[in-house]
Order: sequence, then C-alpha cells, then structure tokens
Amino acid sequence: MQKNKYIVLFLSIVLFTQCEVEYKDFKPSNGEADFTTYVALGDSYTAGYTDGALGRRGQESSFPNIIAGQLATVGNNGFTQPLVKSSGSVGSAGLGYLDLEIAGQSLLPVPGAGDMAIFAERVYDASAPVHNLGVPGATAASLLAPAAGGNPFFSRFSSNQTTSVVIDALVQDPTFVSLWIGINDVLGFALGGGENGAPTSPLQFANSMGTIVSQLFTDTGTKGVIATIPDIKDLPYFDAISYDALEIDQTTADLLNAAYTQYNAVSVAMGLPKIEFVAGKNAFVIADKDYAHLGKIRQIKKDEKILLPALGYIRNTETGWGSKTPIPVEYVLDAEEVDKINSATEAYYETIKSIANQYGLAFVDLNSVMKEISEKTVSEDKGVAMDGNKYSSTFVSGGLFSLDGVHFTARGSAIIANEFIKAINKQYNANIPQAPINSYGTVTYP
Amino acid sequence: MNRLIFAVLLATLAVNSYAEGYQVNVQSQKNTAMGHTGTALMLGASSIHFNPGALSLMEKTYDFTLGGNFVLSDITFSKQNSMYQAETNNPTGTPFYFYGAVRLTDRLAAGLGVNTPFGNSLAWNKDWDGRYLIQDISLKAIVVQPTLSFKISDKLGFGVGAMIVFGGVDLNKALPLMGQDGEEAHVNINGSTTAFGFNAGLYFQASDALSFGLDYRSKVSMKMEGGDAKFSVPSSLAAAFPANTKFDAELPLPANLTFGAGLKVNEKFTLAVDLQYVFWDAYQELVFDFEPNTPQLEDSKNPRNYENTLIYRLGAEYVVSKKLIVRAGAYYDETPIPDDFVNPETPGMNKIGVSGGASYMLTNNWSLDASILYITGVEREAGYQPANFYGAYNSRAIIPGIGITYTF
Repeated sequence: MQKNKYIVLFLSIVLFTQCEVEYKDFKPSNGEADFTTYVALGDSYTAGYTDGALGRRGQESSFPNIIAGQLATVGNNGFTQPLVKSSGSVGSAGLGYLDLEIAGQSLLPVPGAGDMAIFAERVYDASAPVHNLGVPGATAASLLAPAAGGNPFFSRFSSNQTTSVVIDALVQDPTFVSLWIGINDVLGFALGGGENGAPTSPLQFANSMGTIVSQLFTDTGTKGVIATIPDIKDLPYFDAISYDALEIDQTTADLLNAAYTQYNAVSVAMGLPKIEFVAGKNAFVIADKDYAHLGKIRQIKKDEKILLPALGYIRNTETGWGSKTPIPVEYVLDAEEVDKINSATEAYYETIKSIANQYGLAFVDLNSVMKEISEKTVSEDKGVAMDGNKYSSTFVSGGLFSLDGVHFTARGSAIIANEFIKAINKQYNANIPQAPINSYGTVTYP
Repeated sequence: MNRLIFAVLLATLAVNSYAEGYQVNVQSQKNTAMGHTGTALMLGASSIHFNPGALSLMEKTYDFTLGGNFVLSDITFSKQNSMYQAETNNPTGTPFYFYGAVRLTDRLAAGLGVNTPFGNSLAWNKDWDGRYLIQDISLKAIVVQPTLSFKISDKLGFGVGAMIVFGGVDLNKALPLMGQDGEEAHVNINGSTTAFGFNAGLYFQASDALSFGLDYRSKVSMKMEGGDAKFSVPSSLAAAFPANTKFDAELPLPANLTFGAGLKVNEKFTLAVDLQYVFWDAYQELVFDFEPNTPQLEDSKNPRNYENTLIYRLGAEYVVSKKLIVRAGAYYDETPIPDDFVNPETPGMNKIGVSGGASYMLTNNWSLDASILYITGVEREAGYQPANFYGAYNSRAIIPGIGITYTF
C-alpha cells in the first residue's frame, strides 16, 4: 500500500498548486511626469456634463475623474470635484437630465426637471481645493476671464467672485494639467443653427490659448496633456438626422407634390430647383431666409445639417417638419454655416497641435479619434470595437454619446479618458493603466 | 428614431480547458495515465476509441471498462494595459466513458463505446469585463460508437465504428444594452442536436516487442437547427429582440488522425508514443442564423480561423507485480487558435500535460484503474481582434479519474 501513499501525496501537491493560477501583473509607472497634483481645465466635457445637464452622476464619471482614478496607481494625491450637492441636475437651459421615453413606436429623449438651486450652491472649500475646474459653456477666452465671464457653473466653486479658472488652477501649484477647450468656441454658433454671431476667430482663439498655456506651463516643472476638439459633424447632435431621412409612400409623395405646384411654378420661372417628392427617401424641406426663391424655402443639400432638437417635430408624413412645413432656420446649418464651423475647427486644431509641440505636452487627437469612430459607424464595421463591444457615433444606440448628442455617456467618458492616458503614456514614458470601460454605464432604456 | 442599430456580436460556442480547442482527452484511465497514448497499445476495450483495429487482437473474450473523471480547471485573465484581472469559477466537469468489447469469432470482435471526447464548462463571473463575449458556456457531446474489428492476420487488425454524437450547448452572454432599472440585457443560447461520424483504425503487431497503430476519427458537423435564443432586454426593446427567437448554428468537431508506436522493452516495461494531428481548420467561422431577424438583431458571424495542430504524446507502463501496474506519461498540445482570435469562451494556449496512474487487480477478473492528469497552460498574451478584447491568459487543470475493468 506504499504506492497509495505516493498517489495521495501526488494528488495533494497538485491540488495545492492548482489553487494558484498565475496572473500577469500590470506594473504602473509615472515615467517622466509627476502626477501628485493633477488639475483639469476645460468645458462641459471636463465637468462631466451628460444627458443635457450637470449632476452628480455625470461628474462621478467625468473623464478627468476617471483619469485621476488611474493616476492613483502612479502617485496622484487625490482629485476633488465640485460635486452637485443635491440628487438633481441642471443644464444651461435650466432643464435636468434627459431620459428615453416611449413615444408611440419610437423612443425619444425627454428632459426632466432642472434643479435651479444647483446654481446657487457654494461648494468651495479653501482646505480642499477643487481639482476639476471644468466649466460647462466655457470658451478658451472665458478660462482667463474674471468669474469665467459670469458663468454660474463656475461661481459654484470658484475661490472668489473675481478669480478666473486659470488663476484657481495656478493657486494649487499643479504638477500635471489637462486642458481640453475650444468646442464652445464653435458650438455657441452651431447650436443656434448659425443664426447668431460667429465662431471665435482663429486669431482670437490662438491668443487666448497662448495666454492660457504660457501661464499654466511656464513653471518648468508642470507637465500636461492637451486635446483637439471634434468636428461637429462627428457629434450625433448634428448628424443623427440624415438630410434625406424623410421616408414616405407614394400617396404622401403625390399629396406633397400637389401642395408644391405653385412653388414649383415660381421655381421654373426663376430657374431654381423644384421641390419634388418620391416614394422612399427624400431630402427635407428647410427654411432659408437668404434663398432667392420668394417662398424662402428649399430642399436641404447633402452636406447641410439638421439639428437634433428637430427630431421631435419630424414625421414621415405630410404634416410635421420637413415636408409641408419647412424645418425652421435655427434648426438647420446650411452649407455656408457648416463651412464657417469647419474652417474654425481646422484652425483651432493647428493652434492646439503647435502648442503641444511647443510645450512638449502630451497630445490627444480627439478630432481624429471621433472621425475614425464616425467613419466606421457608417461603414461595414458599424463602429469601433473596444473591450468586447462596438461603439459608434450613432445617436442613442452608439453607446458613446449621451442623449444630448454632444456629451458622452459614462462609458464614452472612460473611452476618452483612455485616449488621454495613451497620449500621456507615450509622451512621458509612463505606464498608467487603462480604465475598465465596461465598468461604466451607457444609455439606459425604459 | 428607426436608426437604432445594434451590432449584436453573438460570438461563441466551443470551449476548452482539458485539451486544446474543445477536445477532451481523458477517454480511459489507463490511457490517460500514459499521456493519453494508446493507438499502438492493447489496453483492452478502450481501443474502441483509440484504435478499433486493435480490438480484434485482444486476448480476452470479454472486456468491459467504465470510469469517469473530475475536471477541476481554472483560467485567469489579466487585461492588456490594465490592472483588471479575472478568474473563472468553472463548475467541475465530469467526462465519463464506457467501453464493452466481445470476441465473436477468432477473427471478429464487436464493441460499444460511450464517451465524451468533446465538451466542457467554463464560467466567468456574470459581470466580468468580457461579458459581452461570454459569461458562461456548457458544451456537451456524448459519442455512442458501435464498433466492429476484424483480424486480417495474426499481426494486423482493422476496425471501424460509427460515431453517433448527441450534442448540446447552453451559453450566456451580456448585451451592451442597459435598462433604466440598472439591469444589463443578456441572451441565453440553448440548442441540441444529433450528428454522425466514424472512427477507423489499423493495428499492426510488427514483432513481439514492436507495434504500430493508425487511427482516423472523422469530423462531425454539429448542426443545430431551431435552437432557442432567449433575449432578456429592456421592455422598450422587446420588439427588436422577439421572445421566441430561434437560431441555427454549426459547430464542427474536428477530425483526428493519430499515429502511434508501442515498444515492449521487456516483460514488465512498455513505452508508447502517439502523434495526434487535429484538423482544427474545419472551424473557420461560427455563424448564428437568427430567425426572425430584426434591424437590431442581425445574424452573427464570428471568425474563428483555427489552424491544424499536432499533439505529441509519450507514455510508459510498468508491471510492478501480478496485482499492480503503474503508468506515467506526458504530452504537449499545441493551440489551434491564432493570436488574434483567442476568445475568452475558448482561451486557447499551448498546454503541457503530465499524468500518472495505476491499475490494481482486485480479483482475477476485476481491476481498479486510477489516473491523474495535471495540465498547465503556457501563458498567452493574445486576444479576439473582432471585439478588440486582449489580455494574458493562464490556465491549469487537475483531472483525477477512477474506473473499473472486468475481463475474462
């Protein structure tokens, strides 16, 4: 029976070793950067604005907060956010978070009530300075302006009523700074359908940016990361409604063609294109106050954009916007307006890129990242695969963008954070772990 | 808003953890103890599986053997560029076998085998990072093999068996759709089928000391038709994922060609080698054909791109006394899965198996067979490119087994 003892021994040894299957451990390292005091400057993206409002849920998954969570492995001393005290949320228009609701056969984002008291909160604490200085609505210039130009999101947590975002950052003597600003320099114009003002001029943008970075990064020790802004056409807000999404049957097409008989007679007389409908997909009818036709309406062209809020008014019938009734001008970006936005975005891109080079900052080309995602969205690939799932810029179902069509879901925010981390690792030979994107939520359905 | 398009990446099916791919190589305690060699050995009724050609040359008139194993397996995942780590919580697998052989005439023997050469259970935590690829899977295939073996000459035997395969799969995966209640959507895929193949072998006793064997087990196409795909999704998406969705899918059980040699060094000591070639290239793609399709629920095509592999096996047997025989062996099992197609549902890696065991004669007719197999996976950093899911996999398995044999 000696043999049996050996068998028992062999069995126990094997069972013991079985308990310890190996892992391959990740070894974090800060490389050439010091992440002790990390401060984030920016706009609503930095603040954690999502689903059309600022609230605790979005703040907790703001991309700088996610980055800071990963920086904890490489010496970060903690990251304080100006968290909303209530359980509510509030957006620039005074409304709360958007939620998907069932509207007939489809789903529609509907805003909840906004908690205006959030604007009156003071969350500043001199003993625990705020590291996330993201201010919804901020432009490059407003980061330098006293009280961020009177922005109520800033007055919640600013150190005093006359300080600027940049000053409040410098007071903390940051060792590492992230700066992602500029989208509002075009968005203010774009969200209004291009009817008011103009994008910030490239020169003015370059001046503001130059001042910001010279103040932030003059101290030789301070390192940082800077990011480009996405093209608006890569945001669902401007891309969710395709120009030719009016899908009708022959009967409806006949009715509409009859209704435009008089318009088309004028078109022929003036040598302008007629408004015509067929069964299937049709270009929407939009208002255009500068159009030569006396009716001041026409069908939209391929490169022109319809803004997301028009969604609730569009029907695939003769009633609703875009068929018998034109989509109003403030819901449309025409070709000229799109051009203005594009040329401003391109100029900002060059400014940001040259700043990154000049100051040796980590450079996150989010413009290219978003472009790749949106190109793959419409290709066979239907998005970019990350950690087991595909993400696209498709509104609602793409997983990346929240219900406001501009800002990210929590998971989208983690994906952005990982883009920052990749750039930081590359620039500073660091080894910061990526955030687990699947641990963050995405759009929720009723 | 009829633009909701969800790429439902229903990957999956197929599993592993005992042998590479989703083969299970513990088909008899005696053979398992010898590194799962046996193509050129006369180890009794288990030749029904290893080489039906050897059956006609067996010494006994009756040989019945029955046994089973416990597969205690564990796999770890360390995500690429991340602190994230996970470990499976696999249920204990219980492969089993029964072989019965009867000599009908001097030249003819018949047998019946029932075993489980493919299958497995693999379970990650429900909320783990790879849940959109797989949460858990249970793949089962029971092979019933009636077999005839003919002695061509005193040195040469030929046998063939019909493989009747009863297979089933049950898997769960999460879908990246979240309800307002915080629950994530998920799908359960469940189907079963019956398929057929054959097992043919030649056994050649070159001399008293030297033997050779060649065995071919054919590919079996497990075609599942009308399996159930049960979607659990937020109520507003119910129409996009119909309640009674069915699926068709096909999973190939690959063909195996094994060449073996046996050498009786002396009366007490026998050595065996097997070279097993597995035609894994049969597994190029896994397609789930859903019925009905909706704009959100398209058919799911998942590239697999498996490659043919070779398993190298070595085994030894030593007769200690009239009552006791001890055995030992080892093997090296190559992974059929290319670096960019390693999916956590079948996290393949090269594996080294070490085994040992013994048979103890309880009486003249009854013997007790035991084996233990220890498998270590060689750490593999790889991933599944179509879903961009990468990391390092490690695995270990301990497989004790016991069986009884009755001969006369």
